[in-house]
Amino acid sequence: MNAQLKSILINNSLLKILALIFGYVFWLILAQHQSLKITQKIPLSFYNTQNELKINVPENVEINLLGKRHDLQKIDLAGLGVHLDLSHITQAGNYQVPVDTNQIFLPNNVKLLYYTPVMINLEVN
Amino acid sequence: MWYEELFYRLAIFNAKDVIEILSITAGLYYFSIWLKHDQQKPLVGYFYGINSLIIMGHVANLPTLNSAFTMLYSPILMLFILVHQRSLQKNFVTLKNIKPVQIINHNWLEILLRSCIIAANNQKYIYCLIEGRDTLNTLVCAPFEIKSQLQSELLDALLNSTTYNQHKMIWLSSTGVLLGINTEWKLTDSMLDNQTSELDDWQKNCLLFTTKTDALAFRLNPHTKKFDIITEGVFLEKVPTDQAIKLMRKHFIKNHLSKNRKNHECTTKININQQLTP
Repeated sequence: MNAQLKSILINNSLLKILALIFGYVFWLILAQHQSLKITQKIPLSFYNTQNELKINVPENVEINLLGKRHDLQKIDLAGLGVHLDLSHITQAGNYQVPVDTNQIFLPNNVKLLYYTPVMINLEVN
Repeated sequence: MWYEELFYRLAIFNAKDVIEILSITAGLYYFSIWLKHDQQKPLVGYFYGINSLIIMGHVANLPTLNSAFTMLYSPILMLFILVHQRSLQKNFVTLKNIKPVQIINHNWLEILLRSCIIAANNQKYIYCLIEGRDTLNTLVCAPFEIKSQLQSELLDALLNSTTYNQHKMIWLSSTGVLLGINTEWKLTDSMLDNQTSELDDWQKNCLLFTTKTDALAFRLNPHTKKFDIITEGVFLEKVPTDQAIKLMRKHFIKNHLSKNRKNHECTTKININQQLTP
């Protein structure tokens, strides 16, 4: 069985690799202007926080984006995040902070369709 | 995960994209495999060369070239199919498949083999060529054209006649029509091959022509009383009579089935067209 699988993979390997490369490039040429939706989990990040406070929050927010394939591809996912201003939180307690579309920085040609959760529950110690 | 990052960089966002890429890849791969079978021209190289030009035109953002290639891609593919060695051979070597409807005598194979065995008992070699759906009119030369339904008396008389040359072939159709005797292959200089010297001329020629057509050829050796059969470019040596009958029947049943399937498909298409026409 293994030998059979090996021979299937190895036979005409050059043609297979060529076909895969050209297949991918043709697909990309045809599909790059398609609009599509993608779902991503992006991290929460905070600024203007009080140093002595510990904050317990969910790690990620799930966002749904709509855009053309080549625009979506250009987004730097590692740099994407929800940026929350916590300057108003000075004491321990439970807070609910709304997530706003302005807190997610996206290119102009990519639309944010929806995101969950809409309200972030902050547990500040 | 590293592969998620890789897929993202390649603009592959979901399973549908993977399916689409694999479909295009499979199409390209099987087409290039088919092109590779052409031994005379490097069609695979040309094919990927044209594909590279299309991609380069797109990358370099050359709008006129892009539009031209988009419009011309299908005709270019058609051109590849047309100039492929197999297509050329089908068009120019094996010729037409169209034959008039004929009444099939279902016992013709038994009649033939019976007469062949009787002749072999009289120490005669029997060479026989049975054509399938591909007509062999232009590939063989028969000085005695008969074109008659095979009958045991007729065949016995021919095999015993002085004009019959036992080293030439009896030519029949798969519908049981005796087409001729003393038949020979028409060979051109380009077909003469001296590489396989261990095979005799009959074997070499039959191997060549049965590869290109659906004909079956056999030889009955009067000393061993066994059949040497050649079909689809395969040589089967010293086959006993019962096995030979089974093999030939299987070969012609397969041919008839594929013919009937083609006819059925054609009829269905005609019926659908008739239904669609107001």
